[in-house]
Amino acid sequence: MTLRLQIIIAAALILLLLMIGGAVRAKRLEFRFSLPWLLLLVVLLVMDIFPGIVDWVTKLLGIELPINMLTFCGLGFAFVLIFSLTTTISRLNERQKKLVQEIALLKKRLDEDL
Amino acid sequence: MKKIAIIPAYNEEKSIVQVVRDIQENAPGFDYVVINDCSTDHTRQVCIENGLNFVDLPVNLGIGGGVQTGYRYALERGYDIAVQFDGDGQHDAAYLNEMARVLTEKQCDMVIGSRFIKKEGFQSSYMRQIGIRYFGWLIKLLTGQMITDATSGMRMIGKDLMEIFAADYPRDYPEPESTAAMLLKKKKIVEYPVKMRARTEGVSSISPLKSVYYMIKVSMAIILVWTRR
Repeated sequence: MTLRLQIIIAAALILLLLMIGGAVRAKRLEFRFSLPWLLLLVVLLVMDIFPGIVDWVTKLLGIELPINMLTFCGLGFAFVLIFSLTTTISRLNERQKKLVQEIALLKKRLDEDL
Repeated sequence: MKKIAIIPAYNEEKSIVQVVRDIQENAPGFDYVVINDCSTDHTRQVCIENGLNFVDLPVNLGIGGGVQTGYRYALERGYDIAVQFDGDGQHDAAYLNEMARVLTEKQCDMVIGSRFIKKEGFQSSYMRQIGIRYFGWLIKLLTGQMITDATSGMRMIGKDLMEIFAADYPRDYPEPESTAAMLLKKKKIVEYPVKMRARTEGVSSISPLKSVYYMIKVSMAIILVWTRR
């Protein structure tokens, strides 16, 4: 990994961090849902600044090539993120159902009173 | 002056009646509304059986959502002063009219009942005190004003903040963040010394593990609010 590449990646990561920060500030993204993305960017930034960490983690996991470790961990992280989003959607779905029923029953009561 | 106490309640079947009687007996002039945050115990039945004025939330929203519902209720019904009052019996209603007097006479936007000005009464656990002092320091750093009890739920506001909070209020751990946000909007916040009681019934909704998440999340939220100033 050349120094030039390190700088380019760092610049790109910082830009993404600022974009996410901006979205949260402008309330387009809720703070607690931005956390996994911020965490990911910070971890990538650290690995970019200290490439030795990438080699260390690769050896630790018993993987041959660093690129495989990155792919593996990246996919793993993506799956965890998607799963947590899935559970959030499930919860929202359930709550929405409750609200729909509540409104329907309230409407019924109002109609009967009128 | 129409005044109301907003009592967020999640599973407070054992203490909610006593809390309401405390307000009715010791805070004359204050109406009240219990916000039942989809309790899973008999809070709702207890409210019905004792003729308490309450609002039922169809799904659980947490303290921020519950209190915000109360602010919306207060705005809709033309209240001038709203105070958040815990449903677990830790707050003392005798202070409410005094706080209202401070709010109107000193023309404040918010009066916070603080346990740590005179340091009397229930002082909370050691870990919590460290946390509260930390938030005081962080808020002082970013806003210039020292708040001794940033997590206190006993806070009284006027119409101005009622409109702001009814539109926009944090979902979890709202007190430190909203305090910092209002200070950065140059609102006048004054603290009033109060004594609180220890929790007699039920369990606090903040466990030790959640406390760590709480500290980090609220700190970042306060910093975020500061960047929006």
